[in-house]
Amino acid sequence: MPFNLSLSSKLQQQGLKVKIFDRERGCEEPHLTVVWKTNKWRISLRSQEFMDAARSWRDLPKELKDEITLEANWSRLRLEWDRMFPDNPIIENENDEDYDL
Amino acid sequence: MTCKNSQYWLGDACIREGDREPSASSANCIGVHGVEVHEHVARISTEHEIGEALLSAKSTSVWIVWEQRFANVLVGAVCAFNFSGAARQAESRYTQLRKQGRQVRIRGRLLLLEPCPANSVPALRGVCEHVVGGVSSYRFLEGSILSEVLLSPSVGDLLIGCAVDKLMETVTLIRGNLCQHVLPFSFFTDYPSVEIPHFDDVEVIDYGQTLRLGTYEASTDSILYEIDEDYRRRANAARRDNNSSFGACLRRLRKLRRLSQSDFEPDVSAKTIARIEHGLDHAPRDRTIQIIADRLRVTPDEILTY
Repeated sequence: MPFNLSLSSKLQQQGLKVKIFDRERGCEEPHLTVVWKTNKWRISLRSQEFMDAARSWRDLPKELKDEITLEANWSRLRLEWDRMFPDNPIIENENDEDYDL
Repeated sequence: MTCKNSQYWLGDACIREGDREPSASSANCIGVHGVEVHEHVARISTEHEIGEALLSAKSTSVWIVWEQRFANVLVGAVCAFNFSGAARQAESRYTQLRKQGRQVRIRGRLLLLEPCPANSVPALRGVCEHVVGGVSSYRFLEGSILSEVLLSPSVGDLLIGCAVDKLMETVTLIRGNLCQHVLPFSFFTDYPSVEIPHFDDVEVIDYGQTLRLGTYEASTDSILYEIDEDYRRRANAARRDNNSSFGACLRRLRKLRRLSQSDFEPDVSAKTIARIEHGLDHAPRDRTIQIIADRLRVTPDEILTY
């Protein structure tokens, strides 16, 4: 099943969700997706930066940013990504498949 | 009647089992959970209104029949239009059609949200070439959520429903612009995942952003990225790190296919792949590109779309 970050009841009532899907774009770096109605924001689990242009924390409630970036929640998100996508880990292996040019 | 983005809604958008009674409506409100109809949506219900819509509809128009009884009204109105005096007063191109013995049909795509009797299907397909829904195997978003998706600027990139055929082992996805994609079960089962998709319980959720298959959830974005080249181009353009070089596209596609740089050997070495991906080989040979494309199950031209 997808990983859904447990949010405060206030944020849940607003319809916000923070997810790692079972199927993501396989070519992307590790990320979470904030879903609100017909909108989505993808945030890198490596850099905490938004992956799509014209997207920023200004679009979202401050409380959501606080919950996502809370150390315990952030660590959990990264652990869950590595569990679900072991071939695309948060920390790229030193012996990654890239040919040493 | 002018309709900017051309959606025509027949029936009350939220009269579905379990929904609340619609609130009092105004001229601009469909009275459904406070969702207002925008300027690009026209509510129509009478023969006259449908006749007017037939004249203004385009090939990109979307007709949505929220209640099954309005499917009968729609067919009746099209027949009346074709066989009554109204058509004689229509624009000259429609008069021309009639002179050629051709009937006016619904331009665009028709969405039937409720199942229709089997006897009605020939007539519905006769008045409109592109018909979606109308049978019980389709499962659509409900009520106000569906309304909101249909009114979204990104309606074409959201799912509004799906249908599963376990005999043919396919999942049919319906996008908000009524384009349909038929995917084999293997599209989901072959994707490496900790969770296993189950096809006994499939639905679209999260305002069309998620396809749920049992407890397995796939983002609509990930599905469309793989199957729709236009979506892929737009998604790549929207990416903050928008590297559209051949090497970057190749790298993304290779990772999408879960291949390592050495997976192209012995025909193409890992070193060659790495050089191409890092932009150090600006003009790889056509034969090399073809081998790479074959391994990635695309045409050479498609690599740049990733």
